[in-house]
Amino acid sequence: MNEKINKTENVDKTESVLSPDSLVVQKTSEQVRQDALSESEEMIASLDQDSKIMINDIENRSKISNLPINEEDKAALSQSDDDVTIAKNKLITEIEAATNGNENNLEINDNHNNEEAESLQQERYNNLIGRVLSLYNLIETNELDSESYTEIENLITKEVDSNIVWKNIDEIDLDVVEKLVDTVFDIINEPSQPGQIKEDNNKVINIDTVESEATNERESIITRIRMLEKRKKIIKELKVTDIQLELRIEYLKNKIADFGERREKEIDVPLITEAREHLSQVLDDRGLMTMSKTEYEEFFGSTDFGIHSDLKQQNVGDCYAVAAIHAMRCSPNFELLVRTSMKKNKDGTWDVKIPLLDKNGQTVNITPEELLPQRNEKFLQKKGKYSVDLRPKLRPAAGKEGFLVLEAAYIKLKFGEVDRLAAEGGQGEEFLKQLGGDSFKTYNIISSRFNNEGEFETPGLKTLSGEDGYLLDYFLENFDPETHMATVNTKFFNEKNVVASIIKKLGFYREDGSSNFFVPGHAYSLSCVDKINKTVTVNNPWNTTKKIEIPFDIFKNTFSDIRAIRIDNTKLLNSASEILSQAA
Amino acid sequence: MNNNIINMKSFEQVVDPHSIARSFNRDLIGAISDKFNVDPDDLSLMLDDLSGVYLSAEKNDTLCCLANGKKNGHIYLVTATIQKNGQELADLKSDIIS
Repeated sequence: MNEKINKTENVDKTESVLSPDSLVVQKTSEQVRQDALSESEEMIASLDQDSKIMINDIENRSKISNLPINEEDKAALSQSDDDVTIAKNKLITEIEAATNGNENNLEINDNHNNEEAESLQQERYNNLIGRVLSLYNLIETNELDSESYTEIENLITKEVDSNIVWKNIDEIDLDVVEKLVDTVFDIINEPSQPGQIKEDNNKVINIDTVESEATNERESIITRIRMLEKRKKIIKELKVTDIQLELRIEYLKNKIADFGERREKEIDVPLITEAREHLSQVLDDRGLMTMSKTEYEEFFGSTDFGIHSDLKQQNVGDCYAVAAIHAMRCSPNFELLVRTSMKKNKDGTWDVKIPLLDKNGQTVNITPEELLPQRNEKFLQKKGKYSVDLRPKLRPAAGKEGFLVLEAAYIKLKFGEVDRLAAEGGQGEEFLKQLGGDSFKTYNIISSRFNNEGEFETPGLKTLSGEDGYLLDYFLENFDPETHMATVNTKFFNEKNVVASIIKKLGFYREDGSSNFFVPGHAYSLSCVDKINKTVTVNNPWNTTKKIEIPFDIFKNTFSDIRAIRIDNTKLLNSASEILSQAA
Repeated sequence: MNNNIINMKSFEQVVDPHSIARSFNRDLIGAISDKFNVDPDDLSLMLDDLSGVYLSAEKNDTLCCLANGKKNGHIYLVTATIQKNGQELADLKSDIIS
């Protein structure tokens, strides 16, 4: 490198200029001037065009998706406009200065190192964004096994998205994100294409070396080159904004489309009730009902007078499962699901096909003994630091037989036997997803997380802001028991402070403004959302007959996570058709 | 009395819900696609199911059709008032029922 620069010093009436391909080439002053001028003009043109395309594209996409551009996006768009104008004016001034030979008037930033570090950071960020986008494509096109898919999905939704999509460039810890992306590439066995950064590093070092040894004449050329770099940076920033907006809009659009929109009914309720009966009849006619209406009412109870179920969690810590069963029971689809997938045999055993109404479902057989209380293997054993397990027997949920069978079938499928101890602790959507399979799509809104010290914390849904806050409000406004089922988790209190330890000992807490007490770290079923009065109705699995109606703000304050699913009826009906054609 | 029975029979013969639904398939699908912004090609009436198309017992002269959203997974109900013995449909309404 130094050798090359020294050689150029001996060339008369020539100048040195850096190019991306080779560091030093020989050109005449006039050529350099002409090149700089034409390159600048091209950049103005491309800058303007890029920005226009970006703005039009975003506006079009937001129109298509019916998604209003939020304030942040509007600000970004407006900022982009300003950036274009500023960049344009600046470039014109610079070109004029260059043309008039007033290179000395150009503003040279004293803090070159910082600027180049920023540029490097920008390059890394661009590279990273590119890799994340290609990652999404790879995941779409690769046929992954479900374990890898779940692992990647978790990494992307929980880590990559939260570390890139919602952050400004200066807030992003690139090391963390790069590591995450590498991990995902490893999972899908794709090369992660590092190397761009190394090249960029070399380039920066080369510029520094040139600068330190250049003559005044060369220095003015380097200044001009740096000027070009700045222009490139502006262009790149605009492109990054475009990618960020694209990702954010895509994310929201997909989430909202997945969840669906609740609309007020224009058809009278009696006609809708009648239609649901006809829909059941359609499936009955197709020979898909394994349980008669009479049996259904015997094993699950009637839904007359709006009583969904008398279901009570007992001394097993599977609140999530009982809450999920109750959430399912609140759905008008519950009857269809269980009548097509559950059957009581003459010997008193049950056959449950899981996922429900899935042609590839696995049949789980439940014996009457498996519905009885079972001996607790850990009776009188130490439980935590200061307590002892005082439960001689582990009792199933109390309620109609059908619910007990669902609870037992889930445990048996997951753990190989009805081991109630093993089933303690879990998430409601896990239960729903297992029972619903591909016909259920998960839709979670979660505020709980690990903090910087690695501790688990549940700050509550009220702390969600930006897009997550928007999605939460959208969820509440559009929650429809006809298509959605959800469990919600209360906040968890660790024992680090006095209030938390008191709450933990008491076993319940009450948020400011609420007249209801809630159990910390506990799952509830979400049975109803009244968007007009802005209230949410939840049920404690300890006694599902008791409704707890709370306003939105208390709900957001009290609960930390929503674990929801949406039913894909097309998949359900397609499964039904396939089962029928197989039977024929 | 006999005349009444004959009239009812002839009415049932004329007003066959499945044949009306077939005749007005495009309009019935259109009522859903317009309201819910769904591509008509992604919707299909349950014409092959006896209970998928019927005359309402709750409301006189009302045709009810169940429709399947092939991509979005919804089941729709579309209703219409039958006029002129099935020559015309009026007051088309649609909702998601599942």
